[in-house]
Amino acid sequence: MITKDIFKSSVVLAIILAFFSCRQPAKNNSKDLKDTIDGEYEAQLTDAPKVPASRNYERPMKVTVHLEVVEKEMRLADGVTYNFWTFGGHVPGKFIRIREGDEVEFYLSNNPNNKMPHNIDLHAVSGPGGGAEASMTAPGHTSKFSFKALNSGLYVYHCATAPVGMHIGNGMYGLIYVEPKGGLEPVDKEFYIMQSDFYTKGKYGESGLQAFDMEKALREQPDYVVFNGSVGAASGDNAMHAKVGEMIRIFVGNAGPNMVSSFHIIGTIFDTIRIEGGTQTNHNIQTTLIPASGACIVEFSCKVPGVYTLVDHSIFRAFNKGALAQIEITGPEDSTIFSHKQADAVYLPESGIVQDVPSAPVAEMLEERTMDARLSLGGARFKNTCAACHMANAEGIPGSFPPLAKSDFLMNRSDKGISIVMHGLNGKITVNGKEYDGVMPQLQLNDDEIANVLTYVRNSFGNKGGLVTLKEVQAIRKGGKLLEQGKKSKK
Amino acid sequence: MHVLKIACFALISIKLGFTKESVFREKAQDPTVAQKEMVLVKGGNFTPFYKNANSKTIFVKPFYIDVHAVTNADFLRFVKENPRWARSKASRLFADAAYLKHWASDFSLGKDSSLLEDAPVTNVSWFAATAYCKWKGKRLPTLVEWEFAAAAERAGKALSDTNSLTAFILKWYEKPAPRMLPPTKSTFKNTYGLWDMHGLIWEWVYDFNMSVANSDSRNAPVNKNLSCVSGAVSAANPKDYASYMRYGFRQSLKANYTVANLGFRCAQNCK
Amino acid sequence: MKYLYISFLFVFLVACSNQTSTAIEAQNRDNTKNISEQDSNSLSVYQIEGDWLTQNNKKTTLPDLKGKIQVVAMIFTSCQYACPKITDDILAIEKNIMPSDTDKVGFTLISFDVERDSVSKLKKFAFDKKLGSRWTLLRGTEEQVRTLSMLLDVNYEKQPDGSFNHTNIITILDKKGVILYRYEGLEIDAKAIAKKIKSALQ
Ligand code: HEC
Ligand SMILES: [Cu+2]
Repeated sequence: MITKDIFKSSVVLAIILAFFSCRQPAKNNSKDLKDTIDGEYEAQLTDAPKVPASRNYERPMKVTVHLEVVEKEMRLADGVTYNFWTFGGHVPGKFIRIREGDEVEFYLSNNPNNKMPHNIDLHAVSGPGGGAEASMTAPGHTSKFSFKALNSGLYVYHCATAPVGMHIGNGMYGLIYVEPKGGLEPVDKEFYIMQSDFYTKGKYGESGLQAFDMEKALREQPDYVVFNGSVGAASGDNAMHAKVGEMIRIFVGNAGPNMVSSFHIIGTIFDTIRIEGGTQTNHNIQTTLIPASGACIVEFSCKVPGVYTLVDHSIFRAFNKGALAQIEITGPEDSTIFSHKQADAVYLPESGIVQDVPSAPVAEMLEERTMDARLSLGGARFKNTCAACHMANAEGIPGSFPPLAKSDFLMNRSDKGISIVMHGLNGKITVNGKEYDGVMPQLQLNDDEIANVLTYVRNSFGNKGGLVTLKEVQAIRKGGKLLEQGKKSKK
Repeated sequence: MHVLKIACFALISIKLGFTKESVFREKAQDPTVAQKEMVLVKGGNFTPFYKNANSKTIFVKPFYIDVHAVTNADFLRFVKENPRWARSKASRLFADAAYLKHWASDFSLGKDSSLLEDAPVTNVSWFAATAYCKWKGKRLPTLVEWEFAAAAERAGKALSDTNSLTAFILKWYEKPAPRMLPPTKSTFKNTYGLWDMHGLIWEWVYDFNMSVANSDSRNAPVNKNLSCVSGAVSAANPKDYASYMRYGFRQSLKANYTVANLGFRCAQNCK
Repeated sequence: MKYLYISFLFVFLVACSNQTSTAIEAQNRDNTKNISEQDSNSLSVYQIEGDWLTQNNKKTTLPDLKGKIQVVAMIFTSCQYACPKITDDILAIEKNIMPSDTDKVGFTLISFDVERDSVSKLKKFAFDKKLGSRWTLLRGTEEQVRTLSMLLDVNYEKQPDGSFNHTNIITILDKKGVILYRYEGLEIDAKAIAKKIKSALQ
């Protein structure tokens, strides 16, 4: 009963909404010369990440657009292929750039080898279905329809053939930019990026030809969320390129079919975004929301060279489903803006959480061990803990990790190296005549283990230093000194 | 059973006597010759994919239907006997420019003929298919008949396996067509004994233009009071997107269109 | 609940397309002017053979419509709204044709309803709608009607209650039966169409 009422009221509401939402073409009574068609040309379309150059013209023109639908198997990720349905042979579809007021003559061809009928709904069109009905095209046929670009903005286009979700899910979308009269401020670089989600029978990364999975699509659980149609389509070797200080404009679309994008570039702030691809702008934006079948224009420049990563900051999509693209910025460094790493110091709090790590059995329970026992236990400990940095032969790595083999620094120490292993070491030191300035972290060894490993080190690799006892380690732990006096460490 | 069949032929032959009424001029062959390659689909209740507000199921009368789609070799025989349907002769009104474009010439399949002969004929228009059926003393199956026959499971598969049929169909739909179509009887036989109802080609049906639904699939027909169109079409099973795609495909067609993977098979009345 | 949203969406979209639905003028066949004699015969809709019956119970064939420009639509007489509306639209076209040209233009309605639209039903419809002597109403077999619908690009489907779902299309045929123009929808501009007919007569 209640449902029925809701139903009724929703219908009424829908009718009201429909009434108001139907845009009536603006009546242009003043037949201004400025608005009459002046010439014609065929639109040059581009594949992502390229954008057609702006053709700066004053009066509207007649623009012919030819777009071909191609169904083909292509790479979705390494080792994974998919039967894509495309506008122009790639995903996303070709970028179309026209100007506000232009009259567009649109030819949609459906490749004869295709199996499906397709059409196109351009969100830039004012009219029923956005051209979808007018462009319904059987394989091996071409449909023609015309429209006038009444509103400027960045618009998504997509196939609207039943089942619509599947046609979009298989790759049938792209962007059309209707440049406002007078054009946009020129920039140094323009790119085209479109996010979309894919639903495959197999899990992310499962190799082979993957079929569309309607169940997952209905549950809105994509296996892939990608930029420009495949994992890595705009990163690594395919990354976009620009120079330091260049003004970059990206036309960003989100095809969905389900996901909403939290578009973000790691390491830069958008100077300007044209909200949802429309006329309103906003500034100093970190992350902008792009709805499914929506778009946005972002503008920024990178002041510091390096690789900048574009992500959907719904972050598991970026690092686990593919929603990641890159721009490589080259040029001179500017350390006043960003210095890179100036220092790396280990933070060793006096009583930090690290020390809450379940610590070694209490001292009283530990016993002194024989030389042989310490050597064998210490050898194992060395391999597991020290060899990673000081190398298995204890020769270290010149310039980074000092040698322990025949180390004067170690062998001459009064504490036998106990405090180094117990607390870590930090600062300039000289080992066998060579300087080192690195950081050895605190290693979380108990006193017995320290005695073992140091006994091993001090009696291997050509070193001869005798047993290190538990007592000695405990003494250092308590802040005392060993009886044997030697050279003092710099520290 | 046999007696029934013979009775059925007799009736058909009588009916075919009225060639005056025929739309096309093709002379009908002796239907009993052709009948060998057909099976009887007994009919029954069928829930069409798009249901009307006022009807849920449709009663499908028994009919005969070809075991497999018409092949290039079959169609070549037809064209040779009815040269007005040759590639260069057929009017654009009845077949578009791609009509039989995969043949070498009007009356030759060309160097691939050994591969083409048993493959289903495609690149044929509705008019050409209709003319062929007439010549055979048959007709195109109606949309409902075709869907009814095509809903049958694969022979030898458990009925509970219907999901796999859908999966099979969809796999085929997703892929672009191969350069060279495989021969008929190369996919699967369904429980009626019909070959390749899915997975080989699309097939013409007699009343493919019956869907009044806007070809923009998202729109439903207009308000009842505004036209003779009755209530909104709604999918019998919204998840059956394989059917969605067949209906979508039919909506993209016009009767003179030819498509690289669209062929046909014939049907015949029983009574 | 899901269905609720779906219907919501449908009504929304439909209402939208209603408002904007005006007659769409079909493309003129590529270059009608240059079609040779033979071509124009092969492009004629009148190639559909078979006998038809008129509202006056006269046996006729489609080629009998030759010699005049024909304004053609497919209807059924028990239709409540669209078919009377189409008929009114064609009447409006007729009114806009110059008296000197009236003998050069014919008006033809073909019934979808092969079962129920008997000759007398057609006659009654013609009488009720005051369709004059230049009008021809035809009934044929289901196959003839289906084939004609294919040529005129009219979609139709019989409903269980005996009525028909169909698209609303007015077609202008030249003197040989070749399609000159197609108008889709229920909001046609009769004056403009009459003008097109006039220029086609020249
Ligand atoms: C994460 C890398 C790392 C690990 C693991 C590590 N060290 Fe070190 N170690 C260093 C660095 C770096 C220095 C030099 C510190 C400096 O420059 O102040 C160093 C210095 C030393 C020194 C003094 C310099 C020398 O060459 O004599 C000793 C002794 C030492 N480590 C012993 C050990 C022992 C024993 C272990 C295993 C229990 C160990 N280290 C594990 C990185 C490591
Ligand atoms: Cu599509």
